[in-house]
Amino acid sequence: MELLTRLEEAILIAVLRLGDEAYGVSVNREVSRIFCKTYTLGALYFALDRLVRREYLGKMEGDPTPQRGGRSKTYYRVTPEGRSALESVREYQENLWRAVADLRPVE
Amino acid sequence: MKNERPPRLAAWILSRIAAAGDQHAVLGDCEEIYSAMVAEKGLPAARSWYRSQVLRSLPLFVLNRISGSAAMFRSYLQTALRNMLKHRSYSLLSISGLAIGLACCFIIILYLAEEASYDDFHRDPASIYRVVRQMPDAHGPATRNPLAPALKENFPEIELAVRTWLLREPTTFWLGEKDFRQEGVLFADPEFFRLFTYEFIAGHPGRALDGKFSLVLTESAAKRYFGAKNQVGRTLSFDGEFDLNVTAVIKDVPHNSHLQFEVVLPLESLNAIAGYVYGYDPAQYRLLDDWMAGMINTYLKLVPEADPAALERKFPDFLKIYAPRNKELLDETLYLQPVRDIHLHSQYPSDTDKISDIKFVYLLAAIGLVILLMSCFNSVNLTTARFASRLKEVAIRKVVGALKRQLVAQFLIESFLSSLLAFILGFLLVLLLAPAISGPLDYSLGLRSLHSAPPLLIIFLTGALAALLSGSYPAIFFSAFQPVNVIKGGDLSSRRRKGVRSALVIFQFTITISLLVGTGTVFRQVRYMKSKDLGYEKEQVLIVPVKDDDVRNRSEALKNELLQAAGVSSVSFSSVLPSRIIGSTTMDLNIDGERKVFEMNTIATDTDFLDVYKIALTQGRYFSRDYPADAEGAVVLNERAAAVLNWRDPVGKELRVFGGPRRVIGVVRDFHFQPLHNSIGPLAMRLGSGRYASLRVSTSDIPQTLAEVRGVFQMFAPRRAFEYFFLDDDFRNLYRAEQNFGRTIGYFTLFAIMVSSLGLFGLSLFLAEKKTKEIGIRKVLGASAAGLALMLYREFARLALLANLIAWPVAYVVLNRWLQRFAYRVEVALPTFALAAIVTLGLAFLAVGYQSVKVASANPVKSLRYE
Repeated sequence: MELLTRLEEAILIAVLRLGDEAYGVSVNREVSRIFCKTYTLGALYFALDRLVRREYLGKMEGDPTPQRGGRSKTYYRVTPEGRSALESVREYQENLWRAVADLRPVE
Repeated sequence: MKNERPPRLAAWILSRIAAAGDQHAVLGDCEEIYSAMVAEKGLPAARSWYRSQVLRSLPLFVLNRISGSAAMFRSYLQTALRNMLKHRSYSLLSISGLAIGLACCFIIILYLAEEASYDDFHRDPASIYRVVRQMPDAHGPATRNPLAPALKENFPEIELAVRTWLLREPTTFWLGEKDFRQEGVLFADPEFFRLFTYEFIAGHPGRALDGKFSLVLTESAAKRYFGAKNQVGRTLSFDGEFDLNVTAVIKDVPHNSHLQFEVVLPLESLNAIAGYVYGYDPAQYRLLDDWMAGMINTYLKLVPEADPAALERKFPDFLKIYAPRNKELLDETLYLQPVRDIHLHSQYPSDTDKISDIKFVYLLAAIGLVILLMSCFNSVNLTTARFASRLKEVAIRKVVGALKRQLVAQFLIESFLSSLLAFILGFLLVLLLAPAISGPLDYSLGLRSLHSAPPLLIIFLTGALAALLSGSYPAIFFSAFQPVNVIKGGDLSSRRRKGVRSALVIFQFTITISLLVGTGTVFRQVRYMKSKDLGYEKEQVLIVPVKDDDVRNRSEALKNELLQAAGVSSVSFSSVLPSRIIGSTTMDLNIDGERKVFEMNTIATDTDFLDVYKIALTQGRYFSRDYPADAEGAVVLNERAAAVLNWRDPVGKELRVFGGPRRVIGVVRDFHFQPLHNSIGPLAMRLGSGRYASLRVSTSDIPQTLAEVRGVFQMFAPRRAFEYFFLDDDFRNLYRAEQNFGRTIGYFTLFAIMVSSLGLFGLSLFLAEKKTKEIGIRKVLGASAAGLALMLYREFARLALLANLIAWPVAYVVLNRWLQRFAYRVEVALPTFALAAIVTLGLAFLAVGYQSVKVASANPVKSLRYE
C-alpha cells in the first residue's frame, strides 16, 4: 500500500475534524494549526487534488459567499477509502513505535 | 472594503494555472483569506500576502495540472491504440509508408553529416586554407613550387605554410628482396604534421619528417610491411633506389579527408626522387625551387586574427616581387580556399575522386524531403479517408463536451503514436539498408555520425516534423466541423476534401514520375557513354606501365619479345593512353592573317599505335620505320586539329609544334581521348616511345597470356613488380561519378515508388469501401466485374495521367540542364517518358486491381445488407 505523506495525513485528519465545514480555507487553517506553520495554497491544493484522485477525498460544490467575491466553495469529505488509509497509517505508526518502546532513553 | 479587490495580475495568473474545473474554488478560497486579512492587517499586507501566495504556489499548481492531465493523456493513448488496432490495414499502410519516408530521410541525413564533416578533424580547421591558382586557361590547386616559403617570408599573418605533392601513380617499395605495390605516396614539408592533425601511434609529430629520407607510414601500411611490431626504425626502399627510414606511424587517414595518402615522405626528397623518375641530375636542377614549375599544393595556416580576404588582396603585389624572373606570374591570381570547403565546393579537375559536389548534396536533401512529404501526405490521406468512419466518434465527443483543444490533442497523439512506430521501423530499416546503400557513396555509410549530437537532433526533429505534418491536417479538420451536421447525417464527402486528396495523389505521382524519368535518363547517358564508338577499340587491350628508362630505350627489343607471347597480336608504346590524354601545349599561330590561340593536345607514340587501337587514318600515312626522318620532323594531326588550323589538305604542310617545325604526314580520324564531358579537341602526335605499353591480346587464354607477358617484363626489369590493367577496366572508372549518381537516384526512386504505391493501395481500399453499396446496386442491375474494376481504376488513372502532364515538362527542363555538362549526350527521349507513364499507370492498376477484384466479385447481397 502507498503510504500517505505527512501533509496528506494532516489534511485527511483536518477534513475529518471539520466535518461539514471542510473547504480550502478551513482545511488550511486547521493544517496550519497542527503543524504550527503555514502552507502555501499551492501546496495545499496539490495535496488535496492528489487525495481526490486517489479517491480518499470526495468533492462537493458549495454556495458562493460575498467574502469570496461571489465564488463558490468546494467542500471535501473523507471517503471510506480515505478512512481506511488513515487507519493503516496509524497502525503502521504504532507498529513502528512499538518496536522502539523497549529502548530506554540514553541517560 | 468591497472595492479592495485582490491584485488583478496575481488573480489572473491564479485563474490561468489552477487545475481545470477548480479555478472558482481556488480563487474563492484565496479571496476569503485575503478579505479576512484586509480587515485584520490592512490592505498592503493582504495584497503582498496574496502576491507571494500566488508566486510561491506557481510550481505546485503547474505540477498539479500536469499530473491531472496524465490521466487524460492515458485515455487519449488508449483511444489512439484502439483506433489503430481497429483499422489495422490502414494503420499498417500509413505506418510503413511513413517508415520508408523516414528511413529515406535518415539515410540522407547520415550522408549529409558525413559530407559536412570533411576535414573537420584537424585542430582549428577554420584557420587552414589551401592556395588555388587562377590562370588564363586553367585553374586549380597546383601552385608554383617555391610559393609556400615565399608567402611565409612575406606575410606575418601566415603561421605555417606547407607544401605537399601526391604521387598520382602507384610505385614499388622494397622490403629487402620483397616488393610491395604502394599507392598514395605523399611528399610534404616537415611542418605538415603541425598544420594538419593526424594521430601518432609511434614517433614524434615535430620530428617525423626531419631527415631527408625519413618515412611516415599509416597504420595499415606499416602492418603490411612489418606486421604489428617494431615498425619504427626499419628501412624500406623506394623503387630500389632510395632507402627510407621509418620515423613514425600514424593512424590511417580518416575517410572524411580530402587528402588521402598511405605514406608520407619529406618534400625535400622529391628533388632527388623526381630527378630519378624524370631523368635529370638533381645536383643541377632543384625542382622545388623552380618558379617555372607549378605542381605543388600549398596549404596555409593563418594566425588567429588574420583576415583571409585582406591577405588575398595583397597577393597581386606579392607576385610582382617575383615576376621579373617569371613574367607569367602576372597572369595568375591566387585565392585562399578554406580547407573544409574543398570537399563540397571545389570543382577542380585535379581534385578528382575524393571530391563531391554541393549540388548533388542539395539534390539529395531535396529528394529526401520530398519523399518524406509524400509519406506524410500518405498518412494524411489515409486519415482523412477514414473521416467518415470516425466522424460519429468525434461528433459524440463534441456533444459530450470535448473541447477543440482536446480533439486536436487526440489526433496529434494518434499521429505521434504512429510516427513513433514509423520512426522505430524506419531506424531498423536504415540499419538494414545502410550497407547496401553505402556502395555508391564510396565509403561505408556509418552510423558513426550518430554519435555526434547535431545529426541525431536533426533525425529526431525530422520524426517530430513528420508527426506534426501528418497529424495537423486531420486534427484541424476534425476539430472544426459542426457535430449537428454529422449526427443529422449530413454530407460526409465534401468536395473540398476530395480535392485535397486528389492533389496529394497527383503530387505523389508527379514526384515518382520525375524520379523515374531522371533515373532512366541518367542510366541511358551512362550506357551511352560506355558504349559510344570512341574512334578506337578499347576492348582486349592490356596496359603495362613501363617505368624504367633503360627498358624504354630497348623498346624495340621488348616489343619483339612481347609479340612472341601467346595471344599478343600487336604492341605499341605511347606517352599517355588514348583514353586520357592530359598533355597539351598552347599554340599561338597566325592562320590566314588571323591570330589564333588554342590548346593543342599532344601524344607521343611509336609506329604501331594505330594497329593496336584500330584508329582509322583518313589522309597521308602514319609514322613508319621506313622513314627515319619521322622521329624529328613529322607530325600527325587529328581531323579536328586540321579543322582548327583551317587546312583542307594538311599533308605536307609545316607546323611548329614539339619544339620545332614539323611536317604533317597524315591525319587520323577523331577519337575520344578525353571523357565524353569534353568535345574532341585538336591533337598532335609525334613519333616517340613512352611510359605505357599497350598490348592487343586475344581473349582465348588470358592467364596464359598474362603469365608470358609477365615473364618478358621480368626479363627486362627484374627489380620491378609487374603491374598491368585492362584498358576497359580503367575506362569503367571514368564514369563512376555518373554511375553512382544514377544508382543513388535509383534507390530513392525505388523508395518513392514504394511510398506512393502504399498510398495508392490505401486510397483504393477506402474508395472501394465507400462505394460498397454503389457497387452492390450496380451489380444487381447487371454490371460486369470488369466494368466495375474499370470504374474504380478510372479515377486513379485520371490522376496518374494528370501527374504525367505536370511532371514531364519539369523533368525535361531539369534533365536537359544536367545533360548540358556532357559534350556527347543522349536526348531526353520520349520512350523514357512513356516508360514512366506506363510504370505509374501500372502502379495505379496494381494498387486498385486487388481491391476492385475483391469488391467486384463480392456477393451484392452482403454489401447491400450492410446496415
